[in-house]
Amino acid sequence: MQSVWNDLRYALRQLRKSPGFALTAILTLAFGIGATTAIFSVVDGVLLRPLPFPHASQLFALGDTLHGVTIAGNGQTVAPPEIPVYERTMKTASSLGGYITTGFELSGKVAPDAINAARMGASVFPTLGVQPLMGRTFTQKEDDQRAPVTVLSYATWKSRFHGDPNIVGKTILLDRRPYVVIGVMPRGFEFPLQPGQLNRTELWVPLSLTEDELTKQAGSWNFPMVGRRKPGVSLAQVQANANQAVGTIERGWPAFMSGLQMTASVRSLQDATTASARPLVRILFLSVFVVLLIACANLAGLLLVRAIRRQRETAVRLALGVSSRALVRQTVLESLVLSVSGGLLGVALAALLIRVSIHYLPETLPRIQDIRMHPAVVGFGLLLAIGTGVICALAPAFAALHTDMNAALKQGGRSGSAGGSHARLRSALVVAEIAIALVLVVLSGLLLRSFQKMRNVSLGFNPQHVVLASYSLPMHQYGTQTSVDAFNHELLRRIQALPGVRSVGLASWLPMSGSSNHTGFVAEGYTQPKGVPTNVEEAIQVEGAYFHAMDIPLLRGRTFIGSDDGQAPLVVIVNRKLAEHYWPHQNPIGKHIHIGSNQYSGLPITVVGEVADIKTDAPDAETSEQFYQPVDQWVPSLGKLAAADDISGNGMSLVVRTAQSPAAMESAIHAVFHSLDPQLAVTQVETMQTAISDTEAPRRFNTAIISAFGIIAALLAMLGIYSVIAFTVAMRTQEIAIRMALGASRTGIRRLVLASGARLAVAGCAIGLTAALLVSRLFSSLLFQVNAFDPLILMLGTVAVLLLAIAASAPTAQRAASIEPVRALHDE
Amino acid sequence: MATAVPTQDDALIRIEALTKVFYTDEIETHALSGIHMTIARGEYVAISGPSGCGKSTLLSILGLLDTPSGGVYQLNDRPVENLNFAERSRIRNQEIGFIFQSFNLIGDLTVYENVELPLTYRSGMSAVERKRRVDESLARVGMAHRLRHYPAQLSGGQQQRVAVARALAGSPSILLADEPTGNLDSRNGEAVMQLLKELHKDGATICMVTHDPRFAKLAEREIHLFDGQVVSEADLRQKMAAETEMLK
Repeated sequence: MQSVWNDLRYALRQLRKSPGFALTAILTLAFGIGATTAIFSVVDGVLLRPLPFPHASQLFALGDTLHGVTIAGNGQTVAPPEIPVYERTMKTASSLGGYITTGFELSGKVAPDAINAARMGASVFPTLGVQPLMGRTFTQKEDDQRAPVTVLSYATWKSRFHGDPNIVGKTILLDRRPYVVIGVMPRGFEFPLQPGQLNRTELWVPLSLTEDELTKQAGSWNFPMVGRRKPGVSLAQVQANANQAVGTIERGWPAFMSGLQMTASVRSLQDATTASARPLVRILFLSVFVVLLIACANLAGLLLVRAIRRQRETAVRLALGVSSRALVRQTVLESLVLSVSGGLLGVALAALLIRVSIHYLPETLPRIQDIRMHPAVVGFGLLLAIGTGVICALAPAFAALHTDMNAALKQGGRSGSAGGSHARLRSALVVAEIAIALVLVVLSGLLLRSFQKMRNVSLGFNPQHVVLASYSLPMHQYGTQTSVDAFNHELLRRIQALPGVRSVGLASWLPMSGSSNHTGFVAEGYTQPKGVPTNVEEAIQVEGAYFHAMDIPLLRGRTFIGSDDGQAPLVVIVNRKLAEHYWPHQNPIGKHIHIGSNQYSGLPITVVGEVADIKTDAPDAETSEQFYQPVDQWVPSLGKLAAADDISGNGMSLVVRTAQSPAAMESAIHAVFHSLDPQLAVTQVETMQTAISDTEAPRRFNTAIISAFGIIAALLAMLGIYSVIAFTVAMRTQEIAIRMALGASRTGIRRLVLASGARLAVAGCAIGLTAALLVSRLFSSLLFQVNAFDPLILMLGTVAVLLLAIAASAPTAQRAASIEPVRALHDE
Repeated sequence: MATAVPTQDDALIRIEALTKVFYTDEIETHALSGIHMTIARGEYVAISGPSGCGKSTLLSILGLLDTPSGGVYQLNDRPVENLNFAERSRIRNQEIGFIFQSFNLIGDLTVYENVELPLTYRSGMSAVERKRRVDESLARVGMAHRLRHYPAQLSGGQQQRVAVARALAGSPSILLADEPTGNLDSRNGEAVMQLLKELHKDGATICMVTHDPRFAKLAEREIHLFDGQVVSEADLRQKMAAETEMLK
């Protein structure tokens, strides 16, 4: 123990003697360990940490997988009539319930606002196993009887109701209907576990499925289910049980769904919550780990230089009889002092990084609130520091053990041959650094190119000078089609009258909103392929001059006119992709479609126009087949499919094309809404450019962060090249002097040094290119319209790294060319 | 002030009032103080003197490794004291052959490559011509059988012979040898001195720095340096005796 203590004191003394070296090494490692720890906190929070529910591993998510049909959320949701069937049949679950996210206008004693909420079955809270902080959750009776009760989230209770200790029992207005607050959930409780930070659920109301949902929405897969396995029951058993339930469900299907093929999909809730984020998080971690490897290679290189410079000291120790173990211990201790110091600083840096950058994480990332410096994350950072210290000590320990005692003692520690072999080891480290850096640079290039391609994608409409606003008319006040139509017509009239407005329209779903509505669709004259029971297409209801406001090109026929109302012949406008699918190489004008399926459909609707395809999701998402109907004609077009209380146009988005700055228009739009209905909550008042930018955020985030890692990796590799070349030149000072004495010009010496840097770079690039080709397949899911083996990117990446390597060698080359031969020879 | 007297009219090197001053912090050290010296073509001159007398500094200036602080230095009738680095490099490469005390062979190059090295710095010399010269030089010093060896695989005497071959390969006007036997045992030392003598006999001009009187006597002419000045042999003995007395 005493000897360890002595070695430690010696190591500290040695580092105090070289503060520059110590600082460089500690900062390099602090950066590497800090970045890795920060990204690990994301991995831990998003993927590893159990969900914030008791015995979370017992929780599972249940959905239906429809085969041969493309619908959003396939495998994640069930239709409402299935919920009671699953609840009855799933004997493998101790409890099970369905839920759906929704929105409400919250008003009453608080400022009116649109909030995110969830309708939850009474069994969901017991399934999750979280007790309320105050009051209680719903009873089954309240769920069955559609009781107007609500449970608040902790954040909502604190922020909107100022933490009122008497909130339980009080009444609030949701969509202008009174609801009694029966409980408040504890801090940190969140369900459903939505991605991002903006869509947190603020309150919960009973699921209370309506008669219409239970009887007519067998084909509406919008409700996820969550359950808890009974003790000792495996997921596979739950899956088998769920498939039995599917048989019962299929027997209850209406005739028009008879052709569908469905299986149940059971996954652990953790898996279901994090599946979409897994590729990104893994790649982030891989990238940052690569940066850490480069940092380690740099530190190992620096320690190796020290070992070479201290060969004489090592030789003296060997001559005095030091054991190999003691020699290695001293080297490892010195490395550990550096790495643990770097690790502590790195962990502090990671804490700062998490605090600062958490707001910049993409909204597609789930469980962001769980990303924190948990003790496990701190432990990971410190373990990483210790591991790094031991690994970095390997090269110098090897050098120390292989010291040529005789030569080192005779030549005063300046043995060229020993330095040469260690320099080769150091060169190998740098070659590895360059190779790794090239992989990251190539990946950054591929992502940047993908991002550029995405930015160049034609959206199908003109997003310039467009302002958006969304609203949802509360049923309580707008319970009839007439009242909804009156509001919408007056809104359009008043907005159109605003100065600078060129055109204005309404749509049920906006491009780039991330939401859409898919509906069963039948095209007359189209023969359904075998195995495809129902066509499901994206349906959009519009009003006013929507196509003009969006600047969507009309390709054939006409757009909607004022007379296309509920009494007029039914009309529809289709997009090019849909027309090409159902009537390839034909003029779609005059063709007919029906909503529903072949067996169970609405009234015939005539195609009167064909418009260009537009992107309804992110620019890099597949364009969907779309059809547009006038708002007034949607319910009539459903024919016998329509329910008596069906209303269209009560949840719409406003699209305003303006001649002036769209941002300046936002307050005027707010004022118009306020003048029509002062209590109405208007959301997402923003420019179309902002909406597009939001959809690009995940790809922008991927690109930015991996490019940042690529740049850091390249810079670290440059530092590595610089130090190895500088070290090599220092070792070769005499050789350079001899060359000069023999007539080498300064240019020749410069060339000699640059060539040695270029040689390392070429070797590193050759290995890096091979590695990039091997690993690029892993990243193909992140690419858009770019081949993972894009030769241009590979070439540019290689050239960039080569040039950086040569640039890193340039200062040393200049220094070498400035060597005065006479002094170098006399210093011999 | 004594002057090194030329013994031939055909001067290859002519030096007049040459000085070299080193500045370290605020200390001014006069390494050479007004040297006058001439070396004729084909002459074999030894420069001797005690440690610190300026021998190596003088040889560095003669070899254009260093520049004088003052005075005139003509090589082949051309003033070379104020040339730029590139010009000095070219002259070093073409007109001067160095033999160092510690051989200064490059450890990573073979014997052949070491000897070829100065020739690679000459533009326009073909590979065939380089090979011919390298082979000839190595044969001349008796090292033709060690072409592919690395310096570490040779004895000190062999390394110095390779260094002599390297100096000869460029057919320089003068060979400058700085204590060529300093790192050798007496047998190898004598062999190298014998080699230099033979080279001189074949017409080479040699200027050798040595502190060993036995080897200095092998030269045609001996120039004695003391405190940066050229002195006669008698003066040198007198000054050294006085210095020894003072130390006592």
